Amino acid sequence: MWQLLQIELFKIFRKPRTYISFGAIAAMVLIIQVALKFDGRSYIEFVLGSLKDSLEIPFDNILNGFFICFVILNLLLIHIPLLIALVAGDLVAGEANMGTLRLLATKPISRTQLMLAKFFAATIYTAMLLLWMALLALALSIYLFDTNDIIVARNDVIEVIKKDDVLWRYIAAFGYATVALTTVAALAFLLSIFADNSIGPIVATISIVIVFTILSEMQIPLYDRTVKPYLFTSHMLAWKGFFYLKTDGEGTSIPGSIENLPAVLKSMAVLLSYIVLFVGAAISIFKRKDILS
Amino acid sequence: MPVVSIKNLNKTFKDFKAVSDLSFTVEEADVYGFLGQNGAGKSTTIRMLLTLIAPTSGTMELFGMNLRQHRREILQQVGAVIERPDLYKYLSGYENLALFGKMSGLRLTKNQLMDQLEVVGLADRAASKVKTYSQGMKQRLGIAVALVHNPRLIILDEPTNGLDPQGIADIRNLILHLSRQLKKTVIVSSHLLSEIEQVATRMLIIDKGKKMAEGSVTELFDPAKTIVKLSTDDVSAALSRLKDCKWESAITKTSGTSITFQVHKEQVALLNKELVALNIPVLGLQPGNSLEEYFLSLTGNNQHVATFTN
Repeated sequence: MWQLLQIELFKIFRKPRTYISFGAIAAMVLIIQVALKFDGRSYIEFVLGSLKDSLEIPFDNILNGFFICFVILNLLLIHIPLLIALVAGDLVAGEANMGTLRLLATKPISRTQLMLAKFFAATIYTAMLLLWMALLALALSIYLFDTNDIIVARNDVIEVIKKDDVLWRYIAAFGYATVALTTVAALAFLLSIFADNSIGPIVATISIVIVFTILSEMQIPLYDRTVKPYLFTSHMLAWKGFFYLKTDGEGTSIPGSIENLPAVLKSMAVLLSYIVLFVGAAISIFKRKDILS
Repeated sequence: MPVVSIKNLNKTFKDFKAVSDLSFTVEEADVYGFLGQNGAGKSTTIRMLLTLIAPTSGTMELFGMNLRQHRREILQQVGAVIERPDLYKYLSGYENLALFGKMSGLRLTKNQLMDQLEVVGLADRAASKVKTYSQGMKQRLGIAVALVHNPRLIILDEPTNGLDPQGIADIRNLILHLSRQLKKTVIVSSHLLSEIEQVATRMLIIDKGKKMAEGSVTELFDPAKTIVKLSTDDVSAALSRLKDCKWESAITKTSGTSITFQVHKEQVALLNKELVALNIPVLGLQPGNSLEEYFLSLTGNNQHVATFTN
């Protein structure tokens, strides 16, 4: 199994399309960093909205590496599924398109092993993409902007997180984002087994993510109870929960706390269930599939 | 014990029956020709042998083991090129070979891999990406991949498709080398009778998923059953001149412009001489084989067997 995984990773990282994602993330992160470096004040005023008139804002302190990373995560994580689908949707369909799937399926390895190796390779690719994003969004931002406390605006409330209390939250957030995006990878992987060309599964995955995200964001009470809790997209942004702190009786944030950890863990459990469902279905269908490509 | 034993194999795709009640055996060191026109069911049968397609019914045993129950053990001893030699175009020939060697559970050294590439004449292009290879080079690399784990049984599905005459000759020589020198069992499919005839020891003709003929090539190409087609301008006159002659009993068919005889191959020249002696205008005398005639009737395309000689 380990050898199969190595082979799958070798194939993924020898494909030029794999590096499109890394290049796109680098470009987007750098564009945001440059914009905030030269016009961060305008962005902070926009984020604070009407609060900026009633507060004396220490712009130089707010505009630090931790804050920039938070901005980048907010802006980018919603778009990363496209980059994940680009590789995960190609895993089986791309092989069928090249004609190599039939050669793989005649090797003395079980189809279950083959599928698991491909899925784990997609998971590692997802994790590496997020690690790359973390390196640029967090490490490079810290290098360029230094560190300080961060402010998190939520429902007209400004929350301040002390800089000593931030780093572990980012590690947790990136870990959560890896699970969330692995769910997208699992969906693309499942759709990939039905096609002989990777365009179909990539477009289908993105379409599903877009439709589900719209449903997740719609403020319709009927959907709040009946649909939203079951959509994986409703749980993909729960990483933000790591940046919401509990408050004491006087309304002061408690360092080291998470406001609603059970909700974050529940969302993660939902995402993990979806991963098991998608990968299980993919293996079950592929095991019985006639390979005609 | 036969290397391959297929019994009552059936495959149905929705309402289309691709393979129907097919049974055959392949013995050790056979070059087993699998002949049929396009769509006859050859590739479907081969894909079932390689577990790419599940049969609707029937049993398949390879090396005395049931394919469904011992898939892994069996596939360790099988190498295959299925239709096109599709490989990873963005990898080099060497990388492709190393990758598929690993997938077969082997840890081959660089020297061993280069030796394999040397056998198929690709050592000097080992580092080039496959996308820069010609069709013939891809086919040779595909064969190297099929042979990398030293299998007992080699399955080649239409291995000469898209190759130039030199490439076709190379594949033919390779098949003969595998069989005669290395004592491998080879199953080779083709829609070209001439190809199969030149390499196979035994063969099966399949049409519309059904077995039409099976046997050793020497049996099926029996020289005593050579078919000779005489083209003449007046068939009635020719028939009257042949009356009571020893060739009359050899006539198997007549048409508006031709008379067909079945004779021994060695008698063809004599037949020609005596037709001329009987003052029958010989516009053409075309020797063939009953199997060729039969195959032509299946394919309905003379071009397929244009190079056939008996």
